[in-house]
Amino acid sequence: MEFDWTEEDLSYRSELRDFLAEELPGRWEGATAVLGSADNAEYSRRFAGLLAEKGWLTPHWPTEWGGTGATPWMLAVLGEELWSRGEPRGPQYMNVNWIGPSIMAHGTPEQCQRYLPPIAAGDVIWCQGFSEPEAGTDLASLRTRAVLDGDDYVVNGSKIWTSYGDIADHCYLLVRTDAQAERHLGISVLLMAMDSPGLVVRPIPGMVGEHSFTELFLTDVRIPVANRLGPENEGWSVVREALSFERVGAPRWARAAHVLDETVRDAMEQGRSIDPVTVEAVGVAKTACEAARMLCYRVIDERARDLPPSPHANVARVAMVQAERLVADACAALQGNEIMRYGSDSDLQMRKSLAAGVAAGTYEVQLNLVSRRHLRLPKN
Amino acid sequence: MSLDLSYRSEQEELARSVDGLCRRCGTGAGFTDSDPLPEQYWRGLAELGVLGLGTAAGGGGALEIAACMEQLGAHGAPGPLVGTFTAGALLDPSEMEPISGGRQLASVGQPPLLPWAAQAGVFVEIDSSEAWLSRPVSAPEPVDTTAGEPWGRTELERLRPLGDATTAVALGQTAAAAYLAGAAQNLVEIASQYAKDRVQFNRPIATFQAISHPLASCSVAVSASRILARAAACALDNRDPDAPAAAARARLSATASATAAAYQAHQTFGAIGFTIEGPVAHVSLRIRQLSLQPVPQASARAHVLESLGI
Repeated sequence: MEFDWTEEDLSYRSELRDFLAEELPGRWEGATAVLGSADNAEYSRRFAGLLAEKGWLTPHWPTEWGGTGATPWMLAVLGEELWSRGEPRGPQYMNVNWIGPSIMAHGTPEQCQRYLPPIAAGDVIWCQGFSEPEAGTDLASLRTRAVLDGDDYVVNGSKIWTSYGDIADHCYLLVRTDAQAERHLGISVLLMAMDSPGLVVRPIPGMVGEHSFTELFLTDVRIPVANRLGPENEGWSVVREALSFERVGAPRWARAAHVLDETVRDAMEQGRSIDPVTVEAVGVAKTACEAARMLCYRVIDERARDLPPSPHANVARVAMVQAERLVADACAALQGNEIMRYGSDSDLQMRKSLAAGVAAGTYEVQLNLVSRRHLRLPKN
Repeated sequence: MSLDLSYRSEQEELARSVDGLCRRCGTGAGFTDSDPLPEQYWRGLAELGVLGLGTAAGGGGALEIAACMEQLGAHGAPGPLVGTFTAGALLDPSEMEPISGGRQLASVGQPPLLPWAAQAGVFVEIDSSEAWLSRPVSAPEPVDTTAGEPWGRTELERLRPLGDATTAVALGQTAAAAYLAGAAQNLVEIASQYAKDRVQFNRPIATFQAISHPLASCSVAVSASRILARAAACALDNRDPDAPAAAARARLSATASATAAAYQAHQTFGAIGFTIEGPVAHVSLRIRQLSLQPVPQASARAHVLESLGI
């Protein structure tokens, strides 16, 4: 058994922390907004540029596309340090974690050449056009239709709950290209320019940031066939693979653990008396964060050993949701009314904890996957 | 023994009036952050006599307050409701009159961060056993809160002791418990309806036990909280020595069940639950806000332990 950070990992974390301490003084302004919010997109663009200059935006990518050959563990260190500080990369984490890798895996040489360098440089924002009003958790029932017309697809339909839709340059869009096929088999991925004629974006005000979501309305939007990612009608497997990068790519536990640590520190500094039930809630929350951390590490270890994706990712994701909620509850108990200050770390943690079981795939679906893949329980 | 925890007809009638008022003024997301306290609504509550309930002048008691608060909770209605009822049990009639009349707001809490302080005209400092009529030493620094309430930060200068606050705190906890139970009941109902309407994988999501069982669990917990709140209100009206502990139990139960119902409503509604226009976010945030008032949960736990001789 071996369980320790290497000298290289430790020095990387230390260098990263020094950089962040300088670049994000105190509680950086961005931490008052949350993921999905467009409020800090401009800051994130600038910050991502700085990371790119240091080689820290896409360190896990192949060197040919701007990577530095970093190990999955170094990538985990990067994720932890950035998420614990409120994820100053903003929307860029999607680009670097799964949109870029998906383009690398399935893109044509022209697509790679066109889309990857701007992602590696940190000066482009992508959004994902997945959910539709009638296709949420049941994503494969999506109806946005793409019909071939010469060298273009003509796309009609709508997408909803698209984060950053109002500021993105491109959209990783799921469409139905064969209306007759079995529902998983008629889907394709199109890479759509967000300034395409016929595309209208409407912001949807949310409880986690001023413009947390957008809705996309597509009316006869022409998208060149050359912008299709992967084979026609095989988009479902393309996107499933892409999202397998996503499960633990966002170490949400790191933010929760950081907020808990800071809240405890504040309470101690202010000499607040803490009753035994609250002490226990804090202990339980801290334990849950540690559990989530270790379960995420198990997945990273698999990746580091080049093992195929396993149900461990689903287990880790469930543990992260639990940790986020327990931290929110513990912070409320610790802080009392102070948690209510809009925009405070603990207020944001509380809001995020409400969304934790829904964002990036529901808690219930993760439990289904754990029961089937991990416990081998039958489906029906 | 008899157990009748249904409201009497006049209490039901008052609750229906409150329901009607809320429907006219806004309900759920209709009570928006842009106007933290719509004038028509607050004045309407005063005219119905709700803001004076529990005072000598206003009549009524804890059961009337609980009946109204269940309705107000179901609508996610705003305002310093818990503070108003707590103040009513502490202040002189002349001090209470403008508050009951809806012309002045009461801020009741522990400094420095005080509920509704940015708009309040009367300040009551309270801990779990004592209260003081107070005034801010400086203009409260406005603080926006989770549920869009205009709170404020200031130190208070105590003007006059208001004596033992045990009963007032118990009344406040009962009022908060009834509101939370009403809010949670409503969330469970609208989430259940949504689960029946929303089709994914070619079937209503209510047919998945992953959806229906947690809603059923919430329903059980909320039923208990409603009964505990009504029982506490009865105990208060009967001047039962167990009333403070009953109120504390009701409040702890309601806080837990409402918080759980909020999580589950979000799970059921999915993304639409996080929109400002949607039916859940507004209520779930208010539940969080109210779960910490009028005194910390730790005080409620202490009351329960005390009643057990611990």
